[in-house]
Amino acid sequence: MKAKLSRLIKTNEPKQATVTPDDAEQAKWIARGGEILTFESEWCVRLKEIYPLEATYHDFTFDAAKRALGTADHPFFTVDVPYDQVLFMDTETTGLRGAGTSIFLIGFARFKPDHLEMIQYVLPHPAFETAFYYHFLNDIGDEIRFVTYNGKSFDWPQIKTRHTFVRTKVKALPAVGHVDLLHASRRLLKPTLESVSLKAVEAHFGHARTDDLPGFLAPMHYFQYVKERDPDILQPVIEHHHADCLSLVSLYKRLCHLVEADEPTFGEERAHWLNDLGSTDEALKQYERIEQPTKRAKMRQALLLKRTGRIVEALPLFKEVGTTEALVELAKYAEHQQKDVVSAIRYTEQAIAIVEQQKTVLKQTVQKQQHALNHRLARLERKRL
Amino acid sequence: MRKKRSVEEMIKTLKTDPSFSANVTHWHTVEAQPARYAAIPSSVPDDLVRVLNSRGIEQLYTHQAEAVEQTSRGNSTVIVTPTASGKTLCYNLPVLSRMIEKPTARALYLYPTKALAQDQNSDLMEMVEALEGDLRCFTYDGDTSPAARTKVRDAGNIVITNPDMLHSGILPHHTKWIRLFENLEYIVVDELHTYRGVFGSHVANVFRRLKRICAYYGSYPKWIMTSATIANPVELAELLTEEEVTLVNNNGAPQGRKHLIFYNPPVVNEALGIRRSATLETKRIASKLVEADIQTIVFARSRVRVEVLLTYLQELTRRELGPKSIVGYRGGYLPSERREIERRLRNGEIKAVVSTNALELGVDIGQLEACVLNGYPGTVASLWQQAGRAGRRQSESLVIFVASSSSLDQLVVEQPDLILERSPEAARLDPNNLIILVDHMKCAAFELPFQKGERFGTVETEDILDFLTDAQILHERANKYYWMTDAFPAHDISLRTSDQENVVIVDQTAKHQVIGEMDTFSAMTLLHDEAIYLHGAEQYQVEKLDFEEKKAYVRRVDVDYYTDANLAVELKVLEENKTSGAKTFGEVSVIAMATLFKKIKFGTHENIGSGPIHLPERELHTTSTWFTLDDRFAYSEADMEDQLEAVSDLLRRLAPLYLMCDTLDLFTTIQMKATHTNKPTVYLYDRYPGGIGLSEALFRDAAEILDAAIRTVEDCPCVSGCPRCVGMIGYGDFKDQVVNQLTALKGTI
Repeated sequence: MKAKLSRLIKTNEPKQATVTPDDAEQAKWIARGGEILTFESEWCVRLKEIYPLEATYHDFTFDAAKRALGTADHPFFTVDVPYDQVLFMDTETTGLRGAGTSIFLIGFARFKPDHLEMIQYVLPHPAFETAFYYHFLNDIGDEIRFVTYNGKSFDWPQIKTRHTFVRTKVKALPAVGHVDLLHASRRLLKPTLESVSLKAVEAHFGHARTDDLPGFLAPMHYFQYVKERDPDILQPVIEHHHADCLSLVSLYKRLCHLVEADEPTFGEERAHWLNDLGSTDEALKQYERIEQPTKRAKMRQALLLKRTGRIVEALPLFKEVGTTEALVELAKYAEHQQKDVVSAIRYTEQAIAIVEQQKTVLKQTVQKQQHALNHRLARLERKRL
Repeated sequence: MRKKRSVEEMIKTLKTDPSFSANVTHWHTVEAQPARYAAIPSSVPDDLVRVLNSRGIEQLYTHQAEAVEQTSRGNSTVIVTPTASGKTLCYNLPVLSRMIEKPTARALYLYPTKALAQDQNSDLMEMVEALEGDLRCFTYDGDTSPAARTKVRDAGNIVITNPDMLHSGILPHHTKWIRLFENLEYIVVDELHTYRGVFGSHVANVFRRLKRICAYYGSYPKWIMTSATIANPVELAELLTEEEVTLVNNNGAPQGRKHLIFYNPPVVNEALGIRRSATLETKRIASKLVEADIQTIVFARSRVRVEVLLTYLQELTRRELGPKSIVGYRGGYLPSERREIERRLRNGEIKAVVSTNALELGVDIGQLEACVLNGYPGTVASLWQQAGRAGRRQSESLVIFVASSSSLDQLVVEQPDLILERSPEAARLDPNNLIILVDHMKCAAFELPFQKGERFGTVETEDILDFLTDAQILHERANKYYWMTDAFPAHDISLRTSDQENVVIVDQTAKHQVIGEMDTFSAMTLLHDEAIYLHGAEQYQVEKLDFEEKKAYVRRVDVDYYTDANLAVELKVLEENKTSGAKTFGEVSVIAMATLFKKIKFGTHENIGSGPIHLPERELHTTSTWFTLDDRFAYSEADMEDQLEAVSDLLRRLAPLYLMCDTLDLFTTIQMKATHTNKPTVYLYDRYPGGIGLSEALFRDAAEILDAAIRTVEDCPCVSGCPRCVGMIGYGDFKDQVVNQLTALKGTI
């Protein structure tokens, strides 16, 4: 069988690793300030560091970030829980997706009344996930808010996935909310930055990392560590991850600061963002302030006005925009509110004319649009008779 | 002007029309069968009975009733039914019955392709709607929007998907599907007969993973499977699912009398042996049917051929206003277009449809009156599936097979009993093909760590787990094997392609369009520079084979020759697994190098040029069955070599007919003095690394195939042998030599 396998399938050469025994490994973790936490026969490591609030990280004191947590009034940044239930959280994983991708490092920065604590949980072996999640979940409580970078669609779903495997032995997952700074970076920095990765954003603000471990190498370090059980192998990953969490604290403060500073460059995007977040009144206020609104801004403003029952104010905007969608809105208004079928037909015909002139590769979309418009027109024609 | 005539009248006309009947090699009649009914079983809840009644169903066909009975007894079943016999009720009834009883129960429906999954949905949806309950069924495939996905996972009682999605989209993310896996009671597998060969071998392993995940979440679902008529439905079902399966095959759907006509286009050039084009003949015959207002389906073997025939036939309706009454149907049409065509076929608005085998599968288009097959579809099962499209329940129907000039087609049209007198092929697969097995064990290890001593389906895993551990893909600790790479294994494994390194064929004629792919081993002889590549019925010339990038650039041409590459093959026997007389099954290593190619003129088969091929050699480890010939029957070494060629050629042509595989799935090679025995030997081997069960089946069924070979030679009217029987121009008593050789061979095994 072995011979047949190696005949048919090409693989890497097997390597022999020197394996550190369990107690020696634990001693090494303790020596570097780690705490060994056990659950039944499993164990994991907790690393903890304390930072004074006056300390500065990437231009801002931690104290400034802590105050921002309490005072942020932009709906994206507002948190509805006390500051010690906010975790600036990040994970390191063995892959990018799927049930078989495990998390081997979860860490977070959390404010205490007079300091910031930085905590990291290390999974010494995939076999010890129960201990890992047991202690992590007991530590964080039942109601928390995460400040993360892409945590809403990556880290947290991955925690949910892995929690499934140990769900009978550990606490249920807490109720969570997210302030995902990746979204804020996209809104505020995307127009100027080519990439909005955490690294790129840090560099943009003058804090390029120099000796940092490239993220994609983290799994390799972990696999080697699991084989040899020497904490030194994992050290670069732990440092990289530690820096990521602290960076989230500073970036939270920085982005709050940016959005509140009311710089005109963000004018239009600010309005759209508030609109998307559902802050209708705030968004409308912002739309009105835009000096030279784009068609997109006018259209979104008009739709928002329509939704809040201010259709009459929306009409001139729809007329200015003049796109198919806008003309359809006008047709709807004419047909249903003004009972003016003739105008409705006129608007619909204008819309059809625009679609017909469109030169586009997406033939299907055009056909769909045409179909819908013709349908509308036919109905209106029947109504007129 | 069209004049409506009945099928019966048409049959009379065809019989008396000399321009048609002269070319008929065989006229076969299948007698009518009346419907057989059974009462709706008591296990079907009243609500569901009401829904059935409201759709005009007061009683069930016998096979439907038995499927319900067997399932309610807790048996996994495989239901064998011909086309259009109401098979969806066979699984929808038991599943819906269970869900009315227990609303938390879940079912997974698997269709072989995404398109079919969407096609089948509407019937089920109607029933579910009519039940007015809380049942929800969803299709889950690549087109499902991210927003809808969560809903499907959490709330779908019935999830409809395909094996590819199960493999790469569901199983590797099983934690998101807890509700489904915890409550899964039924797995429905439609069109089971399509799960054969490499694809079937992959799917068998996907099912092992599925069962493993179900067991992890505490569910042990039952299987309901449906299949077209094949020789071994239970064996296939049991190989795929590794469950004990009950057969339901008492088809009760009625069937009118059916005429199956074998038509060979007339020879137009006696000297060159060229026949009239099968496509033109198909057009002529189909036109007659359409003019007589007989609802007809025409099957063509490629998309291009569909379009060509369609263009011809639509000439008949040039002056028609409104939607065309003659349409095409193939992959590549939009789902909405297809739904519309199906609907118009059912209500009779469409008079003729030209289709690829897309309509061979279970799409509901009602029953048509006539079917014309442009070329042999490749397998007997497929032929019957396509023929099944014609056949009203009450009246007579007509199926006309128009042979092309390919050797397989000619074999079928000249000897229709090869097809008619034997049961359809058995579907073959090998779930334990080592390469496929290891691939899926990787996926399984990613999904859940293996325990030492755990079985994967019926397979012992220890050796493979240790192998993967040595290769640093897994890591063992405390008798558990953990996934230890950052890869997502399902992503690198495709269920559809046989080789992970396929050569993609790019047509440069119009825009760079991918028209197919081929494994690297075959590409050496079929896609080398200057090769004429036949795709569907079109000729393409290979302009450049980029072996590094695995791309072949081709351009459409119209030439009167084909190319035949010389492959220097060095075959070594690695292991003999079983021997019986002069036949042996075992493992071989094949080292092949393409050396040169010849240009061969159609019809005359004369050599009109040649060229070298510069490609690196390839090695293939696979399974093989080989036959040792007896040199007693040869007068000279040259004779012996010719006999070897002839036997090899006959077996290569006939084996696909019996093994339900493509002509290219099985390769042959000959050795005048086999290295291990010094005797003249013919080898047939699986083209896929590790083998997929074809040579093993050949070992088992060799006697039957040798019989067919003997008959092929004996029945051929030629004197000394011709390309159609012995594969070459013979001389003297060469035919007898070959027959003696084959007979002796058969005698020993």
